[in-house]
Amino acid sequence: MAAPEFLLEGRGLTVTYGNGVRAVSDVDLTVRHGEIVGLVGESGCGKSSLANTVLRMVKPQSGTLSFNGKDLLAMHGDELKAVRRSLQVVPQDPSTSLNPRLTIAQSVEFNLKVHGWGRRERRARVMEMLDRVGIPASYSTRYPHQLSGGQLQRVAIARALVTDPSLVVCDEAVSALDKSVQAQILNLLAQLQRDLDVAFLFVSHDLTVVEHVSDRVLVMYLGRIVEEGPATEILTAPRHPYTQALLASIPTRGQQRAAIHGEPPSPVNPPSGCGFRTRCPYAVDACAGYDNTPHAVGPDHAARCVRLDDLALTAPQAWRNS
Amino acid sequence: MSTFSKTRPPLLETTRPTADQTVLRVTDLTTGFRRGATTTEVVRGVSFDLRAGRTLVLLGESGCGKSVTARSLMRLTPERAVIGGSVQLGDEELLTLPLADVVRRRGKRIALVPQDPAGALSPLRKIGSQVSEVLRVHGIVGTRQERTGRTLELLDRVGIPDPQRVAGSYAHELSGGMRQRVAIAIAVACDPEVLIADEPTTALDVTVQAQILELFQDLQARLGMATLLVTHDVGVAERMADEIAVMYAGRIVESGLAETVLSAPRHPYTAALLRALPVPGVRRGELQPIPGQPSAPSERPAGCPFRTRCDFQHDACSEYEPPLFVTDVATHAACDLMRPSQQAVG
Repeated sequence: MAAPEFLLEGRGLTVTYGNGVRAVSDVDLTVRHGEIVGLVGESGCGKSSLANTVLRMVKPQSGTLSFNGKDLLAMHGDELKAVRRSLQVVPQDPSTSLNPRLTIAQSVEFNLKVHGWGRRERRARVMEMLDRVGIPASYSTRYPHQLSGGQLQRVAIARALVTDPSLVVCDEAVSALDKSVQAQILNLLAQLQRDLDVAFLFVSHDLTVVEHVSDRVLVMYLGRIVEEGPATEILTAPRHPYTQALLASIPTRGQQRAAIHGEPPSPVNPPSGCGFRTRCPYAVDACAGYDNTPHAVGPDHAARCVRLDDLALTAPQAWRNS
Repeated sequence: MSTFSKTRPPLLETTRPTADQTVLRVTDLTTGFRRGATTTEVVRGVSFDLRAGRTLVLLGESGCGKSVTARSLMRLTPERAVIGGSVQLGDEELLTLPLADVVRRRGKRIALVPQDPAGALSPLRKIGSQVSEVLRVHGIVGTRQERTGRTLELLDRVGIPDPQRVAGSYAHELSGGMRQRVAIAIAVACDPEVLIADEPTTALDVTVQAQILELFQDLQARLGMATLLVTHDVGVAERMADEIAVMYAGRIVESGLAETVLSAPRHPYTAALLRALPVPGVRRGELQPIPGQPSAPSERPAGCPFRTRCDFQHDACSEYEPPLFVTDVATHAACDLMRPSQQAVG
């Protein structure tokens, strides 16, 4: 059988929680081999629920999800564990995700142990991976509290990559870091992707960060992907009013008015039709009846908006000149 | 119960410092934390002026001392903190005033908008009572009825769409953006001369952040308070600042008019910080991170604290810690390269 086109392919994913919150609505999500896909949205938009669905930590109500051509949702026990070797995660806050009682080398090694690597092989792999993420060998016996946030995040990345995964989910992996350190980690991720040909699903609320690392970007609002396309296009030629508003909200010099007002509606009781229409400056009556079918606006570029044809959106011009 | 019948001061027009007048002058502020016999200095000789109607942004990364600076001004530091230098609010020296008198000025003449309004608001009391408490404590409005009216006015003023309902709500019933609006309402309730905002939008989503920043600008235009905005976000600094002071390792390393500092940075740290940011439209792999990380207060290198991460390090850097020199673009930068004799050499 030929390798499937997509490493990860989710179709019609819907996640509803017991309290009536529909966190993810009918989402299609694909990641190709070696591709970095950015998932951007504000708090409560469902991006973490979607990431957790991919990681099999949340079970979707409906939809299909396949990884490497196999049905991820049908897997259990040993089979699921075996897949997790190729499907790893870098969590948001490394200071709580690393065991404070293990040295960092032990933490990285633990992931190999779980997946059945032999003792001798483990040691060499751990040191190689720590080296790859820029942690000096002399640090391997240190404990998490002896490292800075940036170093801890490097360790968390080493731990994820040590099992030689084909997809790594990064959930707000640089959000807790200072900007100068964030740049180091972003460069590291790009480097690792080139060297190891690993794919990333990069989840973040920060559009500039997502755009910077990603090949393709998905913009999520109220449980739906409202726009997806090549990173540069999303940034320079946004087609969905929400994407445009996100861009226009990034603070810059000379900015006066907020791009949009109000806050996202409750996912317990979302508005009919387009979820963004209650805040959208371009909303018309037809938006309430919109069936949320995506419309292609270019190769690999689609948006869910009823007014795609008559809106001429522009990217904000006031980008920092540097 | 107070029986004073105060004439209600007008909401907007009080006797205020005229625009650009210095309202708060900070000179050589030094804050250290005692631990056993040693004191670790986290703010070291910081000086700046806050002017009416103007915003000074204190920009820096975690641990640089920016929040401790902000809190030291109001003496909101833990007991083991040792604060030196001078903080003059009008003609009063806040650092030598009895603490009880400083407390009386908090919220009235100098107010704080915290980073995390969820933590700053009481979970047990309704929003309305928390806003009117400030008015009561500072004796601004006499009767309960007047206070209620003023509370609703304040909530309306900060852009809360349904003041009546919000006044009757608890903090947990509000979104992060709404809670921050309430915190701002409390801060401006007494028309303070100085407003200190410590990372006021860091916990908010970007679209809501834009709304809150707009609110700050509107309030400042209407009320003319001097604002100190503490942030780590260069974008927020760009948008809000009249003047910028960049902090590193407890000191201001560069300061001046915002536009000049951001377009013509003269301290290598400021320049490096600006280069490290992802710029929309510039592709990956081109970020230029600052190597290493700031050293802890206890392990600072001798001389310039940035020298170990600096591209321009030279012998003189380890010999002394440069003071703020006047630069060629009329800003101030604490770098040996800006030493007058160095500049002459070019």
